[in-house]
Amino acid sequence: MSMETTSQDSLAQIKAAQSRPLADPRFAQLNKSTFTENASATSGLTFYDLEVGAKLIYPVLTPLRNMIPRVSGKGGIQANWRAITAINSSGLRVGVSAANRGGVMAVATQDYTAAYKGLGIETSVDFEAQYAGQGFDDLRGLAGKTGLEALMLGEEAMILGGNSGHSLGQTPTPSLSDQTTGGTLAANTAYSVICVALTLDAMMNATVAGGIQGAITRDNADGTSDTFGGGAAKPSTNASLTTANDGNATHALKASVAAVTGALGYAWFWGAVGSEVLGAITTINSVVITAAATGTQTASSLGTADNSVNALAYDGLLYQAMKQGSGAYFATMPTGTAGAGTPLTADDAGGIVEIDAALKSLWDNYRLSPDTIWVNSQEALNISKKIVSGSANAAQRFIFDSSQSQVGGGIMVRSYLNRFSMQGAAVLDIRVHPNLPAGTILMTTRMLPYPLSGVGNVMQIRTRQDYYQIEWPLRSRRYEYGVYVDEVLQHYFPPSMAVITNIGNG
Amino acid sequence: MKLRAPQGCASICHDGRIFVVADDGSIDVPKAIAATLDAHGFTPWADADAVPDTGEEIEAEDVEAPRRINVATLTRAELFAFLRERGASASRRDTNVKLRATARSVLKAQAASKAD
Repeated sequence: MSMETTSQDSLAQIKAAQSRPLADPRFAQLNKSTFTENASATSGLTFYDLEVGAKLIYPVLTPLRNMIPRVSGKGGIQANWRAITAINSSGLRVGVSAANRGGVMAVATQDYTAAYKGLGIETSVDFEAQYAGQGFDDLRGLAGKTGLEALMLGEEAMILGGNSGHSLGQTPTPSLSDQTTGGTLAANTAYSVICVALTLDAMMNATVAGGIQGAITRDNADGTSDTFGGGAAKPSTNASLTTANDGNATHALKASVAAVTGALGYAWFWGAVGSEVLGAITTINSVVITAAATGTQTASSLGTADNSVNALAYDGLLYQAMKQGSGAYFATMPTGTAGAGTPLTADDAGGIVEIDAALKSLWDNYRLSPDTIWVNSQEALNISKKIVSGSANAAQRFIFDSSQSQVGGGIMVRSYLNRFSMQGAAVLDIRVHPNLPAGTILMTTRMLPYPLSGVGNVMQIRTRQDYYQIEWPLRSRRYEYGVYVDEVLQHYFPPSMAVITNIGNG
Repeated sequence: MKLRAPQGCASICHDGRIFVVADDGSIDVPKAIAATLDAHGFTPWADADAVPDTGEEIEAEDVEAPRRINVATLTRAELFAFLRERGASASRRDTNVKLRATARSVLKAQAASKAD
């Protein structure tokens, strides 16, 4: 036996001795832990590391509500005001002959009214919910806070596009064309298409999966109920077309309707005659139908009434501007190519043709310039792209700061220069509004350039009663809260607004 | 009003009325709805429009260089040149369909005389 062999043998014996106690049945209990970590976060002697207080992770974006001044009313059921809209409206010449007096001028006046509307929302907290929440959060406080925030969000949507009197009527009958390629529709099959024009209210609450809202009957907290229009116009008459008998299941249907003033979107139903199902919601007046509709709502479920008006709302900025005779600038983009529409047009000089047309009209007719352009994220992106790419060969150039070799990607055009202004170029802010659907642009003015106009705020919220909360008397073991406001949106000069709708994406 | 249908369009429905696209790609509709059909790719008809045809192919052999002539793919100018070259009559008022029919007759006559 060599020295090396002896050492290896000794090491093996030591290892065997070290492992033996654990393997020995007499020491089996030593192999068990008294406490082990539980795999579950809610079992065992494990601390539950829950941060106190619910995180409030939801947006409360109310830019118009934040911007528009609020003033107190003085009773009554509506705000009333009268305005002189033009002086010397007959264009009387001012020259006078010696010792004689001049002609007597005329003025144009207009009466305005805006009826107050009540807005409110309810919340409640069960006794048990409050007990259970002790030590974690103040549920009664949360009920009040979230109620107020929800009311503000609803108020923002109403300020933008509440519609109390602009009926969309019946949606025009769609025009259809059968395309032999581009889709998966069957050959030699009759397809029926129905279109429904939508207001802002309807657009905000519409999805293909969830459907659109016609007449809404809401059950209230006090056991009463209210019925009002959900923003959907009267459905169109159906248009039916049989695809060509070519044996190919590759058909598509192009559908378009005449644009509806006041519509910010269109819902499209298709299928067999009498069984049309919601398949698309567009922000332009056309669509390309390539496959069977995926929604579940049938057109027949909407009935035949026009539900575009909400009697419990006041007119928002969009519908005050689009009202017949408002004097505001209103433009509808042409239908263009079905399914694509007509996008805004770059003028290749750093501007947008359609925006300039609106600004020029406001200057030519009223000698004023808006100060804010409200857009959807789609238009914000498209305006930026058109202004930047349309300026590639223009006289001006963009200079990017590349200090420290760092260049940030992406360009956002945040303002727009109005070339039609008395004070030289006026700057309009471009702001994305969370409730404005794609395809629509709204321009607003906060200050009139008229001397001593008597208009302190061009637009204001006039309240009969500003925000208030009521904790209702107990009628069960539940705390009930209501947050309310009674108000109306006054716009002293609707002609200072401009609206462009039916804008295609591109 | 005569319009040219976009490639692949078989028929349209407007205000409850159905209009079928003809074999030559044309469609006759009331003038009032022509503007509406812009959105569907319809354009004003012009005699110079290339007309989709049935794709029928007729062979022809030239004396110097044998080649295949597809009448369906010839433009209006080429059709006039083809017919003039072979002594066939063609008028500017003739539609492309008529010119193609004449061209096919010429080719068939040539093929028949060759077979004889």
